[in-house]
Amino acid sequence: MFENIQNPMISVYPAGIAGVVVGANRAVAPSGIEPIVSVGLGTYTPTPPSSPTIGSGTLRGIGTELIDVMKRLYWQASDEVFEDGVESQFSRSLLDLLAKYGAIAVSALAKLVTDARANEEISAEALRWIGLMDDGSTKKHRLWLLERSLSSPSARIRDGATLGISFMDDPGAAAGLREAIESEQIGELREDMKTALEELGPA
Amino acid sequence: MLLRGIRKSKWYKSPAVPWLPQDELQADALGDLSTSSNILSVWLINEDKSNLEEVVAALASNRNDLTNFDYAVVSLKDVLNAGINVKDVGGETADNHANEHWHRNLEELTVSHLVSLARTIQGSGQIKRVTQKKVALWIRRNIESGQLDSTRIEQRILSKARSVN
Repeated sequence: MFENIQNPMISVYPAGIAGVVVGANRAVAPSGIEPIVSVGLGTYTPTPPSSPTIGSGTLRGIGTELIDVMKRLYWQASDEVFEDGVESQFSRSLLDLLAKYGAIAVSALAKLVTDARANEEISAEALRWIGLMDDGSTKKHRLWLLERSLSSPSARIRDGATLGISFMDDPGAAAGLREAIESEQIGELREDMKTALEELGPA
Repeated sequence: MLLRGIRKSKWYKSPAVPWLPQDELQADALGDLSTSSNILSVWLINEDKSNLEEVVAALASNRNDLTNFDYAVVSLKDVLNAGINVKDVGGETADNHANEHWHRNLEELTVSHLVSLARTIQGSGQIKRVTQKKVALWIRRNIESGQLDSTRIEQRILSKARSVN
């Protein structure tokens, strides 16, 4: 299918829309949304078979496996009691995955954070820790997930997102916070969002 | 007053938590009152909160990373009226002064005590958040004053405390 096309690519977009763009280095969805990650099929290298074992040679395969790994992490964390600023088995495993697999791991996490069936406390914990991460290569993707989570139906997830954004301290998140403040119904959470916005400083 | 570190969102009440009946607490809130050998660690805060910064800096610097610090404070009198045993026992943080003067154990706790404590937090207590930036400033100030022993604090916390504006 791609024999006569140079550097065909598969891209994963923030809304989870898979797209195929051919012959371009920058893939752009019709709506103008930039992809979370694009992999050139001609240059794709499977991930090494180190633990966890992920990587069946296709981007979709890796994404699916990562989601499965994330689900297992959530399940294992279901009895953990989290404390702000204190590492846990969950936070260590999560950050390890993000460090190894970058944006596609953020995308896999997003699947769970946005799933109403997933444990909201664990999602909120995940959002705190992705805010604390210091990794330039995934910064845009992590910030995207945090901003998106500001509109979660779960107050705990919105609080986790607010904290994650405050930890990243990126003035670019100000617009997202302002919008969230406008619609936030819980008074104390709205105040926490306002404080986070004030501390972000000018954009 | 007595202070206990908590996670604010566990203490959201109705209607913030739509399924939660009026005047009820989420069960997760009890996770913030987790005991060991039926003992709960708390910290004495002066009525004028003059030692709040010291205690929060001590507790926050005892973690792995620098984040916000959420806490609840309740009246010591309310705790004593609930029949809870409050003992003056040394703490274990990087602040020896706080460890000697402000740490308390709530001892010989029963399930009823914990529920009573949770209700007291819900009813007459105050739940607050200190932001990460403020925590960083407080930790830095207390290191510079010599109150906090930086050798007992994780490097991640130290570097974030140093770099905050």
